[in-house]
Amino acid sequence: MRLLVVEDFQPLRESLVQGLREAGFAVDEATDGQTALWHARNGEHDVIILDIMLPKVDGLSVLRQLRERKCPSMVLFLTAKDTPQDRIDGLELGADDYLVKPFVFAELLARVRAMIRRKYETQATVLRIADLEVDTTHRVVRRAGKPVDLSGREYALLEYLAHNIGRIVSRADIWQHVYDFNASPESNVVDVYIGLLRKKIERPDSPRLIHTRRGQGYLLAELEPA
Amino acid sequence: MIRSLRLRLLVHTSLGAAIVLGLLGLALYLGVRRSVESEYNQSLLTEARAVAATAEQHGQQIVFDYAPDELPKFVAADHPDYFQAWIDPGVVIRSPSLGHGDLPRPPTGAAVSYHDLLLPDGRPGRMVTMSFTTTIEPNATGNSSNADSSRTVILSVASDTLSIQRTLENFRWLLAGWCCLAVVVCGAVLVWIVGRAVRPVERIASDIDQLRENDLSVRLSSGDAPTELAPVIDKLNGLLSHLESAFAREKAFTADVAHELRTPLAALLTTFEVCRSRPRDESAYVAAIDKCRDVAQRMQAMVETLLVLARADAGQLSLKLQNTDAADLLDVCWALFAPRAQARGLQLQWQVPGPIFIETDPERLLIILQNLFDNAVSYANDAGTLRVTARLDSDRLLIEVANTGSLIPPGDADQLFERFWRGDQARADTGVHCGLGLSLCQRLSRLLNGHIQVQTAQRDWFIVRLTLPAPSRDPRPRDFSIPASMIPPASAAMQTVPAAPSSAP
Repeated sequence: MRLLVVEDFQPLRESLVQGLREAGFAVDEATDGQTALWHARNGEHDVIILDIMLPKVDGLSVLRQLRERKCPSMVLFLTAKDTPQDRIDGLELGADDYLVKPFVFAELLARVRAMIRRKYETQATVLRIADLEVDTTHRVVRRAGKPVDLSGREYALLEYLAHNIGRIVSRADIWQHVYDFNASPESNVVDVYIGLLRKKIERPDSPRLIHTRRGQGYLLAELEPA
Repeated sequence: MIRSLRLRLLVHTSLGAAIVLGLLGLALYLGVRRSVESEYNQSLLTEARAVAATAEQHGQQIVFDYAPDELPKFVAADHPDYFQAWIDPGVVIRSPSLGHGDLPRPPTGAAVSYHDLLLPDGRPGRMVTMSFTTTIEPNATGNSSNADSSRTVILSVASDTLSIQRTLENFRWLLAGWCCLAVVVCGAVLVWIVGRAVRPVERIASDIDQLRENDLSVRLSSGDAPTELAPVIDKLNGLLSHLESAFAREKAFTADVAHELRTPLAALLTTFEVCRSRPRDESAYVAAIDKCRDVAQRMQAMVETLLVLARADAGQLSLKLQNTDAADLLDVCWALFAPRAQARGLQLQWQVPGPIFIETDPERLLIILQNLFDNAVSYANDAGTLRVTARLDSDRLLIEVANTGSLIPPGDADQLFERFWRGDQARADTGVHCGLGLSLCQRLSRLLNGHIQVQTAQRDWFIVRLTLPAPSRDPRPRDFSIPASMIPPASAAMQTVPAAPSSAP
C-alpha cells in the first residue's frame, strides 16, 4: 500500500516516513502543499497523511483540490489544530480521518490500516484465499497454517493482491500502489517480485493462487483447475 | 456607615423630611402661640381699660365704682380675676377677689406691660400693668379746687392663663401627631420613590452579576438608566471590551503556544516509538537521540523566547546598561550565522564602520540581532543578498538588516510584530520560526529605549530598521563576550535549508 506523508516539520516527517516504511508501506513525502498536490496528481496513494498548516498551499486547500479532481486517495489529517470546529471543518471537507498531534504512532498505523480496509471494502483484518492467510495487522502470512517468511516488498505486493482478491490488477497498478523507489515502471521489477512471491507461497501440492493474465496483469484467486 | 444605597437614600431623605417637617411644625406652633397670646393680651388690656374706666376721683380720693355684675370676674369666688391699683402716695386699691393679697408691683416705665406670674391662689396667670390719669368728676357744686388735680394710677390686672395653655397644649399634641403621621407617610412614599430610583442600579448590578469570565461579550445596556449612571455604564463597557480583547489575546496566545509545541512533541514521540519498534544497530539509536535532542533544543528556544516575552510583558526584565561596541557585537553575532548563510549561497553586504560605542544592554541587543540575522538568513531567497548597515545619526544609532526575496505584502508590515504571525500561513521549519522573533525584538528594543520598524516598500527587499539611543558619553572600549547559554547549538547554527520536495517516483 502506498502512502503520501505531507508534513513541514522535518524531524516529524522523517520519523513518520521511517516508521511507515518499516510497517511495510511504500511512502512518498512532501514538505509543502504544492509538492503534495504534485505527488498526488495520479491518485496512486491509498492514504495521504496531511498536515493542515503547510507552506505555500495549506492542507485544507490541498484536500479541496484533491476532492475536486476526484482523487480516490483516503486522506487523514494529522495536525496540531485540535478544536472540535477544526475537526468538523476537516471531516466536512472530505477527510476520511482526523488525528491530533501529538499522537501515538501505533494509533496512526491502526488508523491507516483501517482506512485501507475501508478503501478496498474489506472488513476483515485477516484476508483469506484457499489455505492462504494474510494477517494485515501483524503482517504475517500463512499457507496451510505454516508461516511463510516474506520480505517487506514481497509482503506489500501480496497484501495489495489480497485486497483485490478476484480482480485483475495491472502491472501499473501494482507499481503505483506498492513501490516508492526509483525505477522505471517499464522495468520488470513487478514480474521479478511476482516470481519471488510465487516461489514462497506456492507448493507443488497446493493449487496455484497467483495467476498471470497476459497483457492485463495478475490475479489472486482460487480458480477451478482448467 | 450604611452600605446600601437604597437604605442610605431612604434614611437621609427621611431625616431631611423629618427635620423640615419638625421645623415647619415648630414655626407654626410659635406663630399660633404668638397670635393666641397677643389676642389674650388684648382681652386682658380691654379688661384693664374697663376697670380703669370705673375709676372716679372724688377730691383726693379715688374709687373704682362698679356694680358687682358689671365686672363679675373680680368678685367671683371661683377662678377670679384680680386687679390692684397703686395711687401715689402709698394708696393701694385691690379688687375684692384679691382680699388682702398683693399682685407684684412692676417697675413703672412703659405705658403698658405684661408679665407672667403665679396668681395668689396658685394658678398660672398673666398680668397687664398700665398707668392712667384719673379724670376729675365735676362736683355737684361745679367747682373744682386746686387740690383736685388729676392723679396717676398704676393699675395691674391679672387673669389666669389656664385656657390658652390648654389650647396650646392641645395644639401641640395635634401638631406633633400630624408631623409624625406626615413623616410616616413621607417615609412610605420615599421607600417607593427610592425603590424606583435605584431600580436601574439594581438592574445593572444584576447584569454585572451575570458576567462570567468565560463570556465577556456581554455588554451592559444603558436602557432605562439615568443619565448620571451612563458614564459608569460606558466605563464598565469599555473595561469589558478591554478585558474581552485581553482575554481573547491571551487565549489565542495560549492556543498558539500549545499548537507550536504539539508538532515538535509529536516528532519526539514518533521518533521514540518508531525507534523502539524493533531492534536496531547502535548508529540508528544515536541518530534518533541526536534528532530528539535537536527537536528538544528547538522547543527549549521557543519556551525561553516565550518566557522573555512574558517577563517583558510583566515588566520584569532588567537592564544592565554598559558601554558597548555595537559594531563588535554585530560581528560576534554574525559569526553565528555566517555558516548558514554560506551554505545557502547568500551574498553579504556588510556596511558597518567600526567601532560604534553606545550605552546599552549588550545581552538584550544580542538577542535582537540574533533574531534579525536568523530571519534574514532563513527567509532570503536562494543565492539572494543580505545587507547589514550600521550608522550613527546625531543622537541615534541606526542598524538595518535587510534581505532580498521578501514575499511579504506591504500591508502586512504591522502584523509582523504580532506573536505567532507568519508571512506564509505556515512556513517551513515549524518550531524554529514560530512567529515570536519579531515580537520579541520589538519588546526588547522598547526596553532599550529604541524602536524597530519594518520596511517592505522597496520591491523584493525586506528591511528591518532598529533605532537605538546614542552616542555613549564614555567612549572607553570594553570587551564583550557572549554568555555560553545564548549561543545556539552547533547543529542549529549549521542547519541548512530544508531539502526540496523529496524525490519524485
